[in-house]
Amino acid sequence: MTAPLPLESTVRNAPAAPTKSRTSLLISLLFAGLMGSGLHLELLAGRNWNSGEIVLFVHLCLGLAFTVLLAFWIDRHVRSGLRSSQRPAFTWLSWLLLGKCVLLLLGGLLMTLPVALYLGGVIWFWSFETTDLLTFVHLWAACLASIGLLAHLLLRHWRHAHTTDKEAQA
Amino acid sequence: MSKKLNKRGQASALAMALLAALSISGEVSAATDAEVRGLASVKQFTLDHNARLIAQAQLLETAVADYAAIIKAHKGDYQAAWNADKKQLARQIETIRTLWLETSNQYETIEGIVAGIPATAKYDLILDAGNPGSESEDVAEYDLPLPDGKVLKRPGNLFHGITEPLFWGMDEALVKLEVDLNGDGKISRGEMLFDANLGLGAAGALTHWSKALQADMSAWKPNRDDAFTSVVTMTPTVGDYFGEWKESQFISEEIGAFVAQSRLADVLGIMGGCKKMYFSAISPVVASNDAALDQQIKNGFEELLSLVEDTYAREKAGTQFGTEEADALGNEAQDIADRVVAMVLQAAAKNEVTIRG
Amino acid sequence: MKSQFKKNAPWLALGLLASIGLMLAAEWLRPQAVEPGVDLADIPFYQLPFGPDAEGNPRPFWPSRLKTENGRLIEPKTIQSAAACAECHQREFDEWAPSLHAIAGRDVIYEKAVEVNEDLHRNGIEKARFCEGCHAPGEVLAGRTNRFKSVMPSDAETEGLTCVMCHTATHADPVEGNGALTLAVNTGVDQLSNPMILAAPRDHSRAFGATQTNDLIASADFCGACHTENYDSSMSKAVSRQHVQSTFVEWRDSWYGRNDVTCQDCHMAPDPAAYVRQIRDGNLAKPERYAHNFVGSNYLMFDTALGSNLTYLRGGLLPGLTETKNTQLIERQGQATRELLRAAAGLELRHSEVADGQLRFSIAVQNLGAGHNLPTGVIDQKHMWLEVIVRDADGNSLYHSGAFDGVRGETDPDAVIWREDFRDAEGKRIPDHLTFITAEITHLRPGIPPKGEDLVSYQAPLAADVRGPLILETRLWYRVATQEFAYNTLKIDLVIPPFELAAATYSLNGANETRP
Repeated sequence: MTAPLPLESTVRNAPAAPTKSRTSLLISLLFAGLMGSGLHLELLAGRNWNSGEIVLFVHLCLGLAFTVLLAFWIDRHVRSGLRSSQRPAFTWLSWLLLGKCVLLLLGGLLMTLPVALYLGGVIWFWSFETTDLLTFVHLWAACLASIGLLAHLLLRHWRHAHTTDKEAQA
Repeated sequence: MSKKLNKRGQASALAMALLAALSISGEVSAATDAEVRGLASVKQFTLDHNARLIAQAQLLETAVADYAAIIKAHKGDYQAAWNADKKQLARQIETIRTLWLETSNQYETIEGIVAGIPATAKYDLILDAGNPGSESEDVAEYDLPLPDGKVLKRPGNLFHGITEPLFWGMDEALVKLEVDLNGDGKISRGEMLFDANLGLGAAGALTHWSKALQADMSAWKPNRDDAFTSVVTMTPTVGDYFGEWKESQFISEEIGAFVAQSRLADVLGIMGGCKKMYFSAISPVVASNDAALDQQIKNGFEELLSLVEDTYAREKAGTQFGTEEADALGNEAQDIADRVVAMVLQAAAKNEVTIRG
Repeated sequence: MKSQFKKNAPWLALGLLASIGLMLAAEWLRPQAVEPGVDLADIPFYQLPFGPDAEGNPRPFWPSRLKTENGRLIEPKTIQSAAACAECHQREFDEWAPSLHAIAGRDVIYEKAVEVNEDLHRNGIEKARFCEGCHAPGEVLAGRTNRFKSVMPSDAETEGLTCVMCHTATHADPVEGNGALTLAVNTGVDQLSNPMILAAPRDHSRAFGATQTNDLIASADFCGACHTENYDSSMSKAVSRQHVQSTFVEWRDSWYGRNDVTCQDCHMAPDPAAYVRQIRDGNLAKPERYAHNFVGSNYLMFDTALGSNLTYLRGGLLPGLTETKNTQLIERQGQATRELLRAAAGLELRHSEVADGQLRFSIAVQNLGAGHNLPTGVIDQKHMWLEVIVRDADGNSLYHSGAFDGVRGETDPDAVIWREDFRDAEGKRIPDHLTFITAEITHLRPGIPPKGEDLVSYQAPLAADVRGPLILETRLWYRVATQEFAYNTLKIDLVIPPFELAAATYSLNGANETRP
């Protein structure tokens, strides 16, 4: 993680392969869908429990799809990203984003564990306090991950030419 | 061409309308016939139970007369009578209580109808639900003459106001002598000799007013409202009978049960009657505008009868029902009866039927 | 701008907009939500013999003061049975199932008493809404406490004070009482399927535990809505308001009320007797958790020595229970009930003297552990009396007051008894809880207030040749029903055993022994 960035990476990334690109776009789409449905559950579901139930169901399905896609995609993305990132700040923010995503997904998956067990015929659920903690983690990790994702997409990971020259002179 | 077609069209439309009208009037006529036959069965069922009420009341009167004769033989000295005829008096009181329960049950079966028909409503007050003259409403309008010549003015209803507290010693003022009726060496509450004079007068009045009820009931011409009222007031008594059966499974001698016999035979008889009344008098009405509801009600009756028949068959075959099973069966019967009644009432509302009672 | 953002932004926006759009569409296309519950006009043949209120609004549950938040009756099939709640809340179910709250509407003694009252008048069943409002609120709210029951039955209505009847409460009036509760039983329930509840339990608790409900059900006000009972002309012959049960006010005006020791603290503590002892020792810390056991004073309904008769008296088995489990749970709760009762009272000899051939002595009967009067509730049946026996040195009984005849189930009529009496319009005592013909409530001796005592004085003639030291035996007895009531309503000679709350033996020379 702290290894010097390779100099040959001072140019912008080569365009991503089409499949990879499509996957990342799908992930973005799912992420936004999850954010929207999550906000509904957080803010509006109390108005009508049964419409909330449909949204919750959609949220769970999207969440599972998102988790699966991300799990397959993230490894290659991290490897290529590490190779191409020239700015330690970007690298660190990216690791932070990944951490938030793991927290978000882990929280979500742990929350769905009782459902999975119920469907398997076992009734078990987290204590009230643990449920509160998981909900808290899931919600705030989602908010932070959204900001992190925007930052990740907006911030450049390459160095400007003059910065590179100065660094080379130094 | 188009005019011809129009005329042809009009003619066929008219023919269709006529056919439809015929078929509708045919249905109405069929429904009416079925309903009329059904209403006759409602009246017959009620009169049958009224006749049983009279028969039971007469048996009760005879039993009380026998009791009173023993007391009279000792010149009204209850202590002397007890000293001389312990066993006979104890047996007589047990018989009187059993007969009272049978008589009361017969009345409970037709109570809803009696209370619901304007011409017979007064009998409900006299026999079962009326207040004494000291109350301001629902007074049982009759006086009770006693064998000793006294007349009790507006004394209240005969079943729960007079005979029940009298025969079970619930009112200490009517207890003549506390005795060890069951011979267990202790005198518990309810072990007593009651006032024979009042008992005989009240038992005679039960017979008298049951017969008067039958006279007015014979003149009754049941209508659709009466048919619905009959079914919705009689069906829930099935739950009570089943409840008594259920309780008889629970109550053992250790706490002095007095409900000991199976009530399943009664349940079967009354339920059969209710089913017949529904199928013949009410079903055609309900089915005419809600066939699905009619089918649900019919299924309910079938389910209830089959539950009772199975349970009764098992009991006759020697099955001893345990607490849990008797409880479950009782609850199930009650639940089905409640559902049936709720549905019949909903059907009554749909058909703008008036339920009295 | 960075190419990745350019590429992803439309997809992110699309996802966000699509999800918002979908939700808006769902909201827009969703059929107009029908007001939950059932309109009064939709209950066929529902009887309203008591007319509207002062503002002309119908009073479908009167004479009970029970209400629903949206003013509508409940749809029985939407009310969850406790057995369904037990799928996840097993511990709470196991605590609640043996409790008196669970059998409030099915206990046979109660049921028979209601039936006897119903038979008193032609609109007796409708009058019984007064009783059922607290004992079987589900039945009343569904519109089944009616001569013609046109509403389908449900399990929940047979479960007395079942889960939703408390966990949807939004308002209580503990001074008016008579079931003065408002329940959001139509609007405050979520109707979520079990997997969805498990996926988002917070939403489930939001629905059932709306902030106002959680605060309310933790307060004494909530209990007071039913544990305050007044008779008026709607359900009795009383011409002025008669206070039948004043448990809330007794508590509110006591040391316990002033120190915020609530009903729930004692009656829902996991070990109520231990908690009462803790309070008696001056430690006012709240219990570590609130159990759903509602331990009270009715020891009879936990007397497993009655065998299957106990199941009969308790009205059969609740949905979700087997006979074996029922017995296990009852045994556990019975123990807690008996221990709580023993933590309530104390006896103390205050004075004794022999003069002029008379033995005079005074016993202080103390309310040591109850946060309300002792006894409390509707005490025409539940009552307490003091038994005292004076013996000489040889053990011969010289004086006996308050003897209990275990064969007939009768108490010495001259005993010192704490009981209220129902009286009819002619002033005659009504021994069998006939509310609908009660005109007046009188007290033989009112209950002993919390942390208070009642000094009872006796005087007994003493022969000159009595050999001392004299021994004074005292016992404070409690009984849940009178024998007249048990016999008249059930017509069985079940002798209701009394329960010894406290006992003490004094040697009038000084050596004393007390229990518990």
